[in-house]
Parts: sequence; structure tokens; C-alpha cells
Amino acid sequence: MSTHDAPLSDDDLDHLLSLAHADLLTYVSTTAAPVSVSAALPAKTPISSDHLRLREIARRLVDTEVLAGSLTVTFAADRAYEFRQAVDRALDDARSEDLRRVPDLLRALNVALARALAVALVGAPGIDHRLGELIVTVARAVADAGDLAGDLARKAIDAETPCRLEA
Amino acid sequence: MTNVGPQEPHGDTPTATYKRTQALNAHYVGFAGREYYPVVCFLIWLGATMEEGKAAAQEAIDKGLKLLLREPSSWERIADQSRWVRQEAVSAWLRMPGRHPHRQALVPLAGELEPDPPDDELAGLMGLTAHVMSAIRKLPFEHRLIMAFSVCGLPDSYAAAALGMSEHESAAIREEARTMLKRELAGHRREQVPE
Repeated sequence: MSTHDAPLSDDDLDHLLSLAHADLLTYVSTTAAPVSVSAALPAKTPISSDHLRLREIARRLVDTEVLAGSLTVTFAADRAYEFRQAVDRALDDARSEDLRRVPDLLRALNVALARALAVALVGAPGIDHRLGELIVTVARAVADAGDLAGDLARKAIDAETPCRLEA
Repeated sequence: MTNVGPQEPHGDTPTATYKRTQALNAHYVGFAGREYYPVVCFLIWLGATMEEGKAAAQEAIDKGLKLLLREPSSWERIADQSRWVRQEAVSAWLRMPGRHPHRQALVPLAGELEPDPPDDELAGLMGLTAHVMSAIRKLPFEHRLIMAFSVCGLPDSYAAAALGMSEHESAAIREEARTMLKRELAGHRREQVPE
């Protein structure tokens, strides 16, 4: 074997392979079309009727916020703040889509209802039909949340799944 | 006492589940984009034509996406997804019609050489790359597979796992393959190769 035909050194071989691979990669990436990855995602998880009921409660709470905003004369500033605080907390729970938060929602709604009733019974100078409307709206939300909590509890018992117990 | 349930599976809300799937999908699009061309090159070093390489790489990537969407936890449990996609691509290539119909797995066959690529898109490769490809394709299958991993800058552990052997064994075969290549490519010294 002549000197010219002597085998390559390790470094020379590595250099050749590296150049060839870089060349092939460039060639392939400029010649072949890009990979096709199906953009199709599985359909969005169906919303259960329980989640729809939660959304309905959230919708009622938005109505409540609007009504409370129109009652600035009836509500003293500190009572308005306390009421809104309870409604905000309930709205967070209702919008969470998390059925485990229904007990928290129910508790926040009861607090909101109690604060609205306190205004009606003690603080209001006279009968305000908008205050009455506000109380009815919150009371309906309480009723809906109570029904939902009861139904969820029944389903949990039927399915023998772990459920959250609230005192 | 209020009794509330049932719990959502894994405690996820419908929106949270959808968002997690969306995030996984985005992750996979990135993974596929990064791996596709290198996997095609890997298969070409192994002996595939350009068309075969593209089809087998695409099949492996499609399989990964199906796994991800049907069983995300199974996909996440794959310790090395780069290695997985290459092994799937090699299997897909070997299953192609007219190619090794007797073989479904990576079982090396003695003396099995891969012919030079036919007149497909690879005919456009010139000079050094074509010579290196021709030299690698003269190696036996086992040596070729190990060199394909090596040329692509992947560790011996990949080839060892693909061939079901120890890293020590695959390193020994790699050295044999390199010795053959050094002889075969003796005409191409560093000074003859443009930097």
C-alpha cells in the first residue's frame, strides 16, 4: 500500500463524516418538504350538564354585579364593598369549572345573600325595587348552587367515588 | 352536611384537560420539526432512498402523535424520544413493501449490503458526501446501523439499544466499521477536503 493509500487517521475520518453529514442534512432540508404533523386536536372535552349549571350560576352572579352597581345610593360604601367581596368570591368559584368548588360557591353565595338582606332589613331608607330584584337574583343563585351540590352528592354516592364532605 | 362530588378524573376541569392536550400538541409539533430531517438523514446513511427515508420518518412521527393523543402518559414515559423515533423509523423502513419482507425487527443479516441509491433525489449529492455514503453502504447491516447513529452524532447507547447488545459490543463494532471506512475513504485526506 502506498503512502497515498494509507488508511485515514481517526481525526481525518471524523472530519470527513462530519462534513458529509452536514452536507446531507443541508441537502435533505432544502430538498424535502417539511414534516406534516396533523394539527387536528381531539374534540374539546364535552361540557357536562353540571358544568352548564355552574355557568348559569355565574351568569346570575354577573347580573347581580350589574344590579349592585346601580344601587350605590341604597348601599353604604362599606356594605357595598362587603357584598361585592362575597359576590366576587362566588364568581371565582362559579367560573372555575371545578365542581369540587361548589361547596365554596354555596358558602360565598350565602354570605352575599346575608349581606344583601342586612341592607334591606336594617340599612335601606325605604323599599327599593332594585334591591328586591338583587336579593331575588342572589337567592336564585343560592338555590341553584344548593341543587347542584345535592345532585353532585347523589352522583358521588351512586358512583361510589370519593367525594368532599362539608360540615 | 353537604356531600359534594364526584371528582373529575385527575382533578382536571374540561378546560384544563383541553389546554394540557393543546400544550402537548404544541410540544410535539416542535419535536417533530426538530427531528424530521435528522431522522431522514439517519435512514439515508442506513441505506434508504430519499423517498423511503421521508416516508419512514413521517410514519414514525405519525405513530408518536397517535400515542401522544391517545395515551399522553405513555408518550411522556418514553425516556428518550429521539431514540424512540429513530427505532420506529428504522422498523417502518424495514417493513416497506419489497424491502426485507422476512424481517420485522432490527435483526442483522450477515453479508447484507445495501446497494448504492438508485436514481432518486439523492443522485443530486455530489463528491465527498456521495463517496462517504457509498462507503457506508458497503458495510454489513449491523456496522451500518451503528455508523448511522455515530455519523448523526448520537451515542453508542442508541445503537446498542436498537440492536439489543451492550454498549461495549456496539463500540467494538463501531471501531471495526471505522477501520473499514478509513481504508475505503483513504483517498479523501483532510487536505483534499474543502473546509
